[in-house]
Parts: sequence; C-alpha cells; structure tokens
Amino acid sequence: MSPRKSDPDVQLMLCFKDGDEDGFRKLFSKYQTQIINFCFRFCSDRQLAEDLAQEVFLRVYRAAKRYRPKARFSTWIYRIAVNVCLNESRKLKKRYLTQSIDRPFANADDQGNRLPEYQDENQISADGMMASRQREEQIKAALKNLPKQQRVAVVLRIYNEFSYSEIASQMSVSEGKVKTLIFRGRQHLKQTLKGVL
Amino acid sequence: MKPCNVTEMISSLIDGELSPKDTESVRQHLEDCVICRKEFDALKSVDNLLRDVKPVEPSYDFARGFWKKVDALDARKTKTDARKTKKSLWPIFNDFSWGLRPSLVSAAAVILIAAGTVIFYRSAPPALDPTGMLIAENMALYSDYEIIDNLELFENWEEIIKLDEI
Ligand SMILES: [Zn+2]
Repeated sequence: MSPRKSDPDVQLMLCFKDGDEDGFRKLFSKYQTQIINFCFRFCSDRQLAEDLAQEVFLRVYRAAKRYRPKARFSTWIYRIAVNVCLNESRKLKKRYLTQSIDRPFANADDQGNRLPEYQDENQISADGMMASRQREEQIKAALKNLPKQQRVAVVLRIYNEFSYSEIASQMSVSEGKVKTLIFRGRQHLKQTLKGVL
Repeated sequence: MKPCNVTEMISSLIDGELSPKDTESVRQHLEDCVICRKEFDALKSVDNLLRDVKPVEPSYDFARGFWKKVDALDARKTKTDARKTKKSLWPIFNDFSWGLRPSLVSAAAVILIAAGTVIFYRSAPPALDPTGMLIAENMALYSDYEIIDNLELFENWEEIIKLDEI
C-alpha cells in the first residue's frame, strides 16, 4: 500500500468526498490549531491568521469533490495554506483597514473576546513575563521582516519540521530553492535577532 | 573574513538534509574551523529562539465562524443555481411573463435574434441557408443553459423585469 493510501487523514478526506461530513469535522479539529499557527507565524496578526485559516478550510471543504490523494494529507493542506497566505493575506488586510476605518471600535472589542495568547503568564514573574513577551515580539517582528517566500519556508521547516521535499511540494518550487530559501532566511534572522541571541 | 564554502551546507546539516557523505565532511570541517562552528551555533540559536514563541489556541468562535462561512457559501450557491435555472428556462416556460409583458417579449426577441446573428456570423459556413441557421442558433440558445448563462446580455434581465414592475 502506498504511504498516502495508508495515511489515515487521506482516508478521512476520502470519506468526506463520499459524503460523510464527519470525516471533514475530524480533519478540521485535528488541523485547526496547526493551520492557525502556521498563518499566525506568517502574518503575526491573530485575527488575520484565523481568517486565513478559515479560508484554508473552506478550500479543503470545496475541493472534496475533486480530491485525489497524490501526497500525504498534511502536505496537501499545507500546500493550500501556503497558497492562501502568499496570495490572500494582502487582500484580507486591505479589507481590515477599510473595516477599522468604518468601525473604529469593532476590532478592539473583538480582541477582548479572544483567548489570551500566553497561557502560563501567571506562573512567571512580572519582569520575566515582560522580558519574554518583549522577546516574542522581537521574534515575530524578525519573522515578519523576512521576504514572504523565505518566511514560509522557514516556518514550515522550523515549526512544522517538514522535509525539504515536502516543503518543495507545498510551495511548488524545487528542493534546491527550498534549501536556499531556508539558508537565507536563517541568515536574515541571525542578523535581525543579533540583540536577542 | 571570507566565509568557507560550507556555510549553506551548515543550514542543511541542521535540518538533517545532507547525504551521509556530506554530513561527515561538514562535521569534520566544523571540528577544524572556528568560524563555521560559530555559524553553526548561531543558526541553532536562531532555531531555538523561534521555537520559544508559544503556539496560539483557536479563539472560541473560530469553528462557529468557519461554519457560518460554509452556510453563506451554500446559500450563495443555491441562489446562483436557482437564478441559472430561472434564467435559462424563463423564455420558454414562463408563459405568465410572456403573456403579461409584451414589451419584454419583444425586447427578448430582439436580443435573442441579435445574439443568434452574432453567433451565426462567427461560426456558420457560408454555404448554409442563413435563415435556417439563425433559427437553429436561436433554438440552441433556448435550450443551452451554458450559452445563455454566459451571455452578458442576459445578465440584465432581472433589472429589466424590475423596471417593468415599477
Ligand atoms: Zn569554515
């Protein structure tokens, strides 16, 4: 049996293709956190990340009828996520700008309703918390500073630990290009994070 | 100082993406070269630093927001499908409209003939009877949902009907 046929997530997607929505619901709950985090590491904006992640799942949902497993399910869904992040984030951001001009308090309200991003804050001293928060902000800023393709490759490698060949498939580029993107990305980060290292 | 030619390979070494032979030679180089060892340590620190950033959890309304979008999409699709059917069947089956709106009927006839003529002159071989072709094309227009759907002329039908209702 080929590895993609034995991938349980591919099987769930095939069930969904056959009309069993439960297959999709299982995939949604399994992947939602990691896809949100992939988008969040790409755009550093919590709300935008969730909108991008919803767009990723909408595409998975709509693609069911045409779905043909050619790779592991995770490779496939990240391929969609890469596509959404590279192509849609600017459009969505533009929409936010218009919305926040129209409704200046809507976003502030929304932020208040969301879960805190730092879960064990109360265990760390106030100073330590400040320092670690500041460091996180610096890291996010450094990531955001990377050219988009380098950022995608670095995030897929460092946070998701995909192999170069999987990243190549997710980004539709050659493995050699992935190697260079990750190398340049790391060099870039080393420079911008000099003060934190 | 000029970097060694293994710098890019150090990044691949960290990712475990080198062949056994290259892994061995880069490791050997790291033992001998202080600059490259420093580079290796720095890149490792970058990775560790990045991994320090804690993941976020989905907000409480993430899934609900998603299903709302699915519903909205489904509703839009149903509406579009209904409009397609209505649009393509309207000229034949909506006798009510034909009976009560003579102005619309003539407008429809003019548009259909014009559209048919355009299609005919683009596609008909010159040897065939133009009148017969025109009728055939118009009949095809009546029955072919795709053509009717793609004709921009018909995009305005809803507007025309609304105008008639005022
Ligand atoms: Zn060296």
